[in-house]
This record gives sequence, structure tokens and C-alpha cells, in this order.
Amino acid sequence: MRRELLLYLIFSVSLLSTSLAEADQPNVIVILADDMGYDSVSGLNANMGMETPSIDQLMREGFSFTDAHSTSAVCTPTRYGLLTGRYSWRSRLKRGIVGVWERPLIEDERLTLPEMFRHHGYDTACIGKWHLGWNWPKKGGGTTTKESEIDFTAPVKGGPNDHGFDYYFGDDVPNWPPYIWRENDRLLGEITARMKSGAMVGVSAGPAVAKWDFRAVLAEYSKRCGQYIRDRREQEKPFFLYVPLPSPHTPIAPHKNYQGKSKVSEYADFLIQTDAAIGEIMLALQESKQDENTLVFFTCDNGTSNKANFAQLDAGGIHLNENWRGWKADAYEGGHRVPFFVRWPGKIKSGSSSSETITLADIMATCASVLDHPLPTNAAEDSVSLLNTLLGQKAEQPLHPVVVHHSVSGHFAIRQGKWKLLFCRGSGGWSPPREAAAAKQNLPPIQLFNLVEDPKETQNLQAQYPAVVEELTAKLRQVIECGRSTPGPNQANHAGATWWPGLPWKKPSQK
Amino acid sequence: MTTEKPNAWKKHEPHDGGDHREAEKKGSLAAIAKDLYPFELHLSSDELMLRRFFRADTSHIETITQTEAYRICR
Repeated sequence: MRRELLLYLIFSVSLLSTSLAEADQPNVIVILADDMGYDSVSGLNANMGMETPSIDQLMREGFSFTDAHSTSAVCTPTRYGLLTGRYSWRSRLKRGIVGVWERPLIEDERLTLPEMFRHHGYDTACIGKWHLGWNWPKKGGGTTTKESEIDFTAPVKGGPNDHGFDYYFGDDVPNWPPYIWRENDRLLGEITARMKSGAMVGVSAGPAVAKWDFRAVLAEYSKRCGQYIRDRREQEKPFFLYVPLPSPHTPIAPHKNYQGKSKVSEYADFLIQTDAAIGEIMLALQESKQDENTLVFFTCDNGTSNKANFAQLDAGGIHLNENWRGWKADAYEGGHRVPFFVRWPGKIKSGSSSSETITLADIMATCASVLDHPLPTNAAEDSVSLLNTLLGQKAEQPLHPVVVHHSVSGHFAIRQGKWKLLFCRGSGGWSPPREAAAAKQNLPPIQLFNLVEDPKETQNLQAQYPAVVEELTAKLRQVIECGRSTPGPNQANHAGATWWPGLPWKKPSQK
Repeated sequence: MTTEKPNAWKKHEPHDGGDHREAEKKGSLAAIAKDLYPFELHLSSDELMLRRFFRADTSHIETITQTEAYRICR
């Protein structure tokens, strides 16, 4: 009897400690804007010419990393990096993005951010743009990547629910078919129409529900997020909510309530609505009295797109291409330097900041630190915890020895302190000079910039500093070949790849 | 940096875009279901999905059984 009582007491204490640990766990929200670079936040760009008050408030009340980078200069690979803590160029995706109807990019066996939260008893939800591929069901069975073979009435697997999210709501990629809402693995409606290519800027042709309304999409997301957050107040379990907003990416579709607000362009109107959507999400946290125990990240998947029409905006007094060279898709800073704010009342000092060079992949290790979750050696290979920095501790060494950038066309760049070495002749992306034009101009195949003295990357110093070029080249090779950029045993890249076209070393068979 | 600025986080104009909003205005669950979400396509899925969807989308409907949804859609 005495032994039974002792066991009962031990069991009770262990239950109590578990529940206390869980009670201490904060809710976590990651808001990821789409094509909204560093200069698109008025708190970061004094000459922006318009206001983003909701995001600015997040910045004021939280921690700001001023040298933060998306893990790629385009959509899909950055999303992979955020959700896995691993550079996407280590996956099968060596350039570009996952295409329409393409299979999932995240490997089935790979630990994801939501899986980690779920392991710790969280409710996990993704409300927004997925863009990481699906296994489209084929009529008669199996899967397909051909639109004509797809059974749109069957469950669609390989999406958020199969990578750690208990709940998904969204339209996957808002400028791509199918134009329809989805909940979990189901399409919520009947495909009876076909969207015309160019129905709005950036829109591709494909199957749709009747009367799909692009202008309703962003508002639907902010409402759904608000509802999800309010619903969670009554729940015992903490939650992890990933909000990959579809804006201000194309289709540039501000709701009619926002049309004309900026008096400059629909893009600027859409930016205003994007900021307001974030404000609504934060309001839901405040009103449901959960904001004191919620850690919020706000960042973006890459730089602002030139679809914003910088010239038109400049003419109207709005300057979104102000402080950094280039734009979305580039290896230049404008392609991948992004806003990165973290708010956690009572834990993180409001208005604090750091100039540490970090990436969006760091969200994974940071959350692991918050959860006290030991990351396995084959997960989050490029992710470094920011928690100590967020809590005000000064690091003696840089958090990352080096950071790797990657452009849409698969060109690499490596950053160490003030030095940035680009393995391309031009932007490596969409701003001039593109690679073909740069080759015609006979520009050197690499570029070295001192970002402290030359933040706009105007003076190529590669000829003056060959030792720096050599050292950074060796470091890039090491990061690629080790399969990781953090301490730990080497890991394999997809298919064991250690070589890509454009890198300055030859593949083993060419030695 | 100061934190003395007024709270910028607020509710904005009512969202009334999209056909589903038009259906919602009619105040009819059947209209919502039929116009945008033909549940007969999905009733082979789990009931939970239906419940969660309705709870998220319409504040005046807290719960709905699969049978009820089926009846409404028919």
C-alpha cells in the first residue's frame, strides 16, 4: 500500500510538472508577408513616403533585427527554409520555385517547425499561402502533375496537414490555379470555371470556382486568423499559428474598401491593406487577452517585387527601392534583406534591436530554444537560435560564422561581417544587369562588396582583395559540402549534391 | 523609439468581398453552403472539418452535425 501511495505521489508530481511546463509555453505566431522588402516598412525606411502603422507598432513593441535575410530571394525556397531551418538549395530545388501542380518539396522524413510544436502539445495551424507543392490526386487513383488528370473532388495530400499542421485554410498560391479556397486537404467548392491568364497582373490561367474574387482574399485571411486566435482563448493547449500572407504579391488586389486609399497606386493601396491585416491579427491577440503570452515573429519571404512599379511609386512620393540595390529574385541585398521583428511582452525589451546577420531559417532553432526541444542532428542544419540575443544577451561571436544567399536563378552569395561575395556577374535575378546582359558587358564572374562602406553594392572589390575572395569561396564550399552551416555531424544534401553550375569549383568528375 | 503612440491595431472596414459574403448577407446557412461550399462533395470527409469550418466562418452557428449539414445542402 505504501509503495502504491509513493507511486501515486510520483505520478501526480510528474503530471503537475508537465502541466506547469506546458502552462509556461507561449503561443507562437509567425507572420510572413509576401514580396515586402526592408524598404516597405516605414519604421525602417525614413523616406518611404507612406506609413505602415501596424507593423511599426510591432517593431516598437518588440525586437528588430536590421540585418535579416530570407534564405532565398523568392517564395518557395524561403518557405522551405523557414519551416525546416535548412537552406532550400540543399533540397531538390536548386533554382526557382515549385511550379503549378508540382509535388511537395518538404521531404516526408524532415522535421518541420509545426511538427516540433505539435510534439510539445500545441495546436498548429497554417492560414495563408502554402506554395510548397502537393500530391494532386489522379482520376482513377495515384497522383499526377498534369492538370487534365486531376480529380479535384478527392483529398489533396502532401500539404500542410502532412507536414505538422493540424489545420490549414488558404488558397495555396493566390496568382495560380486552382482558384478556390481549401480547408485541410479538401477543396471547398466545385471547379466550374476557368480563370483567364492576366485576369489581374501576374495571374495564370487555370481552373476556378465561379466568380472567384481576388479582392476578397486578403480580408478573408485576416478574418480567419482573427477568428482562430479568438477561438484559442478557450483552449487549454497553446497554439502555433503560421500566417503566410499572400500580399503584397501579385495579384495586386486591394479590397474595394482600400482602393484609392494611397492616392498613388493599387499596389500602395494593397500595402496599406496588408499592414491593416496584420493590425487585425494583433488586435485579435489583444482583445482575447493572449498577447502577453504570445511570441510573434513578423518577417517577409524576399525583397519587394518590381511588379510594385517603383517608378510609378516614386513619382507618387512612395519609395520602396530606397536603401538597397536590386529587388526580389536578386543576389543583391534588395532581393533578400527583409524586416524581422519579434514581439514577446515581458520577455523581450520593447524597442530593442540587433545588427547581427541572421536568416529566416533561425526561427526554427529559436522556437526549439523556447520549447527546450533538442534538435536532432539531421534537422535545422542552418538554423541558429536567436533567443539569447532576444533576451538581451550579447554574443561574443557572430551568431552565424557565415550566411549564404541564393537568387532565383540559383546563384550563390556568401556574407561574413562586412564582406559579401556574389558568384554572379550581375544581379543573379531580375534587376539589371541580368546575367546574360552582364556577360555581354564582360563583367567579372564574381563580385565582392564591403557592405559597411558600400551598402548599395556599387564598387566591386574582387580584384583588390583576392585573399578575401579565396577565403569566402572556401567557406562557401565548406558550408555546401558539409550539408550544414551549424556545428554538428555532416549531413547530405539532396542526392548528395556538393556542386552546382556557377560555383567556382568543378564537380568531382571534372577534376 | 517610444511606445507612447496610440494603438494602431484596430478593426478596419467590414469585409464584404466575395460571393460567400453576399451569401452570408442573405442570412441563410443554406445559401452559404450551396453558393460556395457544396458540402455534398465533402461529406465523405470527417465531420470535424465541417464543424470547424462553420465555427470559423459564422459566429452564429456554434455546432452543426453532419446530418444537419447534409439536410441543409439537400
